[in-house]
Amino acid sequence: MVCSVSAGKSGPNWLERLRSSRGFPSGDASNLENFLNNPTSPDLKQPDPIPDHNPDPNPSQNDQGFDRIQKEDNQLFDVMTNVLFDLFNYGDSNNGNFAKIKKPCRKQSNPRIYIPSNNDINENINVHSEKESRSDNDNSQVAGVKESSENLVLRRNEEEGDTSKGNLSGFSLTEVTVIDTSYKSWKFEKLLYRKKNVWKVRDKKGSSVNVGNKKKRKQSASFLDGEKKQKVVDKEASGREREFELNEVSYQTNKSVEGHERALDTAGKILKKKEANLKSAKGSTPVILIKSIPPRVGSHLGCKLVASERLENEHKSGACKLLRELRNSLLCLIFK
Amino acid sequence: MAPLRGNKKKRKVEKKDEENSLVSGSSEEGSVNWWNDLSKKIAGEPSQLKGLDKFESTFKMSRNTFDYICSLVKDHMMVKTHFSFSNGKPLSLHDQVALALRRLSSGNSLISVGESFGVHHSTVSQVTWRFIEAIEENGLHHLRWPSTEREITEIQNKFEKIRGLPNCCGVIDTTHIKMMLTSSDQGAEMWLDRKENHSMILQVIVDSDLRFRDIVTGWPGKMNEDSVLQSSSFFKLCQEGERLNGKKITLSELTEVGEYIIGDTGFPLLPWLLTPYQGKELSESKVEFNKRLSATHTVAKRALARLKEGWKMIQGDMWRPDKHKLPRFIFVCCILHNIVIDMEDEVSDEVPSSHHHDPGYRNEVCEFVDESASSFRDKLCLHLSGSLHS
Repeated sequence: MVCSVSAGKSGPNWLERLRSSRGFPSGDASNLENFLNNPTSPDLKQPDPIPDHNPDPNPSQNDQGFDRIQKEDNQLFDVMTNVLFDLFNYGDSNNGNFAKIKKPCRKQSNPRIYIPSNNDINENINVHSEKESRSDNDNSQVAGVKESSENLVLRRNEEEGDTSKGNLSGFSLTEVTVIDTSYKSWKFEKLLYRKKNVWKVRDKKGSSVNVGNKKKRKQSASFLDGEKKQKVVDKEASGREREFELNEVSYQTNKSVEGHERALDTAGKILKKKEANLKSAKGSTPVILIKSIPPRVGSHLGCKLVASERLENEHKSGACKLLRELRNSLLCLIFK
Repeated sequence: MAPLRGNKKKRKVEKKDEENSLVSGSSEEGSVNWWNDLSKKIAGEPSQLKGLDKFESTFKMSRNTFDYICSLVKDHMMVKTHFSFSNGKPLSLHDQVALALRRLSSGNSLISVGESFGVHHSTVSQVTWRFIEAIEENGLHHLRWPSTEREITEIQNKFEKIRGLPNCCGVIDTTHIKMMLTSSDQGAEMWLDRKENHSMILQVIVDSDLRFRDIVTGWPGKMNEDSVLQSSSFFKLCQEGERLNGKKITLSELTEVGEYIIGDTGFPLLPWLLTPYQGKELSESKVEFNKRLSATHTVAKRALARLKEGWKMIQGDMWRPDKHKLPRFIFVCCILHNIVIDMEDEVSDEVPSSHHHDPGYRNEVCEFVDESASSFRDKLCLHLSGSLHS
């Protein structure tokens, strides 16, 4: 359509330019007809879609058939050329539709995807379906790559979040400034997480950064003894900073038995809660993250890409199918 | 914004003459005049007008110690100083130090202290904070663990003189610095201690002269004693054998006593931390051992009581304090406490009115007992009971 409109507006100039670019002498429409009707003219061979769109596995046989036709009857040859022309012009051989000839010509000038040798229609259809599915697969693969990369980023973020915060859902956070004179840098900023009787202490600066630089050292296992645990983490980045982790600290007790029982109960509850947190973390977060944020953007793009490619493929395959049917009918007619 | 070095030096030189002429120890007359001028400004305290001898009751330290503190903080406080009285007269170094010390020692409000000194309350706040920073920067050496063997030995000997505990290097205790928080304060519940007060924990290790040798503060009052201990560097160093690792003394052929500190029942029994025997039906030797421990542990209670009595800002209920700044106020009060002791003020010899630094708080109970520490405690108990009967 675009070509026809443009041809209608600047017809002669455009044709002249096209002719000169193709090496043809500039002339009127009658010469064009001659060119089109002349089988030896390169102009006909150039826009002929059949050799391109129907790669023949046995070109020698076809050549022999043409030779026989030329030898036997020139009329048959004219029929064939007319049919070919009709194929090219969708059944209309008027000069006014020359622009329409050029349109499919230009679109099908680079038909590499049809190069694979397929003998019959079924194979072509299969190839097309394969191609279509391949294109779909390609798109899906691209989308998959996008998804996987996004998932990777998400998972990485999630892992970082997990390692930095250590599954602290449900904990209340308080920032505290602690002074400890036994250390050279006597002032620390700590993040204190608390859920009921469970306390976790993290270094404010080192919790999210330099995770890999931490050297964990367990100490005083005998002292901790299941009731209380402490991990002292030395950090070498930016001087010597420390991180304490009080995983479980029982609440103050005024009576020993009460305190002991409460500590045991606390330990049991903590274990259960940790398990529950782990389960919930494993089960829910990846799904939510994958479904929610990034794929939405990627999926829209992917749909658009797939839709446009499918339209193009359908258009090509429709034209191709029509051409193949006509070619077969023509060959049948010829050999009869 | 860090001040420029050059400006600091310039300012120091500019101020030097002024200070010497007014209040330094070299000018007795100037000092008297400065104090007279200042004491006249302190409203509502007519007793201060009587003379220099009332200086100590106002600032809880001798004039000599005051001058030493001025020399400590001079470089820091006199950089780009722009503070002035309400009448426009600039605040000298001594005015600023006096203002900050008054704020810390009286515990009065900013407005009250400001009115008594004739300055705006914002000036009281700014000068006090600058003083805090200056003491942190320049007074840290007054609060440290003894580094030489001579120091340690001296401490051990003094502790042994109290109730015969050999090789004891310190006493550990905690106290609560109470605050007034409202429900609108973020995380107020976190600071709620077992007595339903909002408070901040201060853990101290005290030597035989009531000097703080190690402090940990800033943790919320909800945490108990042993969890604060576990979070401390002191705990880590002791567990790793980097502290309290000095020479052992031989009590008998099979009994050696290493260095240790003592605590109350709220602390765990560890090889380097002795706590009293718990339970009702204790043997005579164990009861006697507990008495010795308790008497020695009184040192820490006295030190904390004196800290709170001398620096009332951390004694009373502070109204919604900045919980990131409060530990630094506490820290500086502890340093000032030590400075007064180090300067051998007569004020430091005054016995606090009470040993109850934490009224209403009963001792916590920690159940943990290290086996080797238990064995060590039994041997020490037997040794002390033997020496008791001998």
